[in-house]
Amino acid sequence: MIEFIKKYNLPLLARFILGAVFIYASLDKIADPVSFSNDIDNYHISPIAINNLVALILPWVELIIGLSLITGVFLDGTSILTILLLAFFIFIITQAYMRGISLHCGCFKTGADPSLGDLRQEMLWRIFEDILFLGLAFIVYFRDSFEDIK
Amino acid sequence: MMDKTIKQIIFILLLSTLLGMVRFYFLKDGDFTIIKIARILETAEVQVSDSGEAIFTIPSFMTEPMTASLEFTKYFFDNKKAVLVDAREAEEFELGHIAGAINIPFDYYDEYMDTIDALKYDDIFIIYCSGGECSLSLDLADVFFGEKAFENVFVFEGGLPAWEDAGYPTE
Repeated sequence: MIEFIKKYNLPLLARFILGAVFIYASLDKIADPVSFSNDIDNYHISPIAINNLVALILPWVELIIGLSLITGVFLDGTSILTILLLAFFIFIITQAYMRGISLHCGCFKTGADPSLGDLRQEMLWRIFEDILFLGLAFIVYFRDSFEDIK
Repeated sequence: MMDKTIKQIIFILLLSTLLGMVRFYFLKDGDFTIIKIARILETAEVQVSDSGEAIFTIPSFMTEPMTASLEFTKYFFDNKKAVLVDAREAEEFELGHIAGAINIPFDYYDEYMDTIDALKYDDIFIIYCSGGECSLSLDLADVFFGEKAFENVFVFEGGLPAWEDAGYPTE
């Protein structure tokens, strides 16, 4: 496993994949914070009063994280933020799923996308996706450890 | 090491906040405020056919409750396709309500759980209260849509006053 990670320079690959995902995820939300704020409402876990603020700031956090991961600037802080954000996303989608709330997660595109079909299935898929991304984020965080192994 | 990491995180968060505020400055939406006052729901659209007739359709896929206009509500009332739900208190309901509406007061909806559970999740629900500043219908819509996972939930914001003004049936 370690050999595999070293052979394919997995930390670098993980950075580029995560970076691209975060940049892509941020763009639609930066363009349309109003819809994103409504998506946040649907989770029913935060007071409505703060949802616009979150909708304004969170997409920029994602964009900066994405750019940092790709350029390698601020990698220590970025990798921790990435792990925290993904863990948070997994938590909020899972709690909504378990409470029986069907929602469009607002992960990549704001507003509804009819082509996605069943919302509950989409939620499960997003949880699965985020767990994979979380794995990649840990690889980025522990990137130095892989280099130290002889 | 940890100190540097924390500084980086704080820097990223501060920069994001600054950029978010710049975005807010350039946002051309008068209803969007930094502190959110109320949810802004989309309105169910009424399309017009080539022959000039109004076409009322329910979106195949709703991600949150929508607001319904007076004509939208009347159309589904006439066709008996929707369940009208009065979210006001029982005493107010007794004094007068839209004909055929059922009463589920938002303030006591826990006590009406049997009634709610007896409803069909895929029916069309149009919820109303006293119009104007009344938010009981919006709150009950959140229960229907969010908590009970009903699929088609609408809020008739004009409420009973708009219905009565139009001279539509009450009881």
